[in-house]
Amino acid sequence: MSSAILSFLLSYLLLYKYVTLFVAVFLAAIILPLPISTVLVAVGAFSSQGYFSFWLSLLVAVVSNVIGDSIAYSLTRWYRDTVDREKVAKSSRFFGALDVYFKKYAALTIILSRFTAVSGSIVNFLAGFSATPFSYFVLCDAIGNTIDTGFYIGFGYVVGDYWQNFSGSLEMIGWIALILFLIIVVSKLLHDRYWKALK
Amino acid sequence: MKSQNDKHSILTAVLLGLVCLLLVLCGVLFWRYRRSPHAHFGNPYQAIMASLARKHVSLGVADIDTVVQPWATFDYINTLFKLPPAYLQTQLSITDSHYPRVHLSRYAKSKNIDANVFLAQVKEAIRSYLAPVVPVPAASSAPAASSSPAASL
Repeated sequence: MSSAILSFLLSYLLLYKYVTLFVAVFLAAIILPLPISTVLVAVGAFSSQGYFSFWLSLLVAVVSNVIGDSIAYSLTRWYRDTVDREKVAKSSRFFGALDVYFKKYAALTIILSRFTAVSGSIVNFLAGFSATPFSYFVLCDAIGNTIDTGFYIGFGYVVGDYWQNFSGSLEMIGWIALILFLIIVVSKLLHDRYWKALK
Repeated sequence: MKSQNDKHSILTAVLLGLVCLLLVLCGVLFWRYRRSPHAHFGNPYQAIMASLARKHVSLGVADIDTVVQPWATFDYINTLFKLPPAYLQTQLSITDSHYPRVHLSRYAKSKNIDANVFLAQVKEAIRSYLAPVVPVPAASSAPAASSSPAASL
């Protein structure tokens, strides 16, 4: 199934180039589980072959990613304005703790979560729910996305014609990034508890 | 207080579990990398320089199997192998009006040809275009001067 989606995306990428890149990255940024890291590596490889422009690809991917993330953010931000957020935070200990954590480590969480497809979408929704300032969210999102997208397109550019040999390992890199992200989150929580206990 | 300690222990256990999982995944990734035929990409500087050098070199016969994929378009193949735009159209008798902006697999499907058979035909056409000119002894007949279509196009 995944390889069928990838073949579909690659064929349209070659036909409509940056339009396909924009749409695919945009949909993946909102919530669709597309193999976007492999697509970005392929774009990097196409750039090294002279079929795409490296810098234009990077720009299109980052901009569409930021727009997609902003829409996901806006959905929960809008929801937050329609329900009593304080009431939800008080009635649910989980949401309350999450709210406190997110307000403290918003920048770190937003930037790091860009490297993991799954948590990225969740963090977008949480950022909107915890009312992180929009401009602050966009800034952190753009920084994280530029590093993440630049890594994948750059990797594709370096491996060039051999990019297909590495496509299987990209999924694993995504899982490693997700685990690293969770380690940082749990470490921060432990660190906070430790200092709280000392006080 | 006991509850706080319990939570602390749970978080510590989760953290240790995540670290173990991370080590296992890194190990698997490294093992896969070592088994890869392109493990020389471990030196980023060399890899980048090799990639930059490749940009100025046309693809050759050795790259045909890598590049010619079902999702590739004729335009992509023409660009990468620097083929004349009408070469594959003539060689494979392609009548599709969207040529060269059509995928190989889609074209094969529209013509009821097995995709693998069609890919093999495309590869063969590229191979014959890229085939080096065979030097012909001076004594032989004049029309056999070149066996490569590249020389005639």
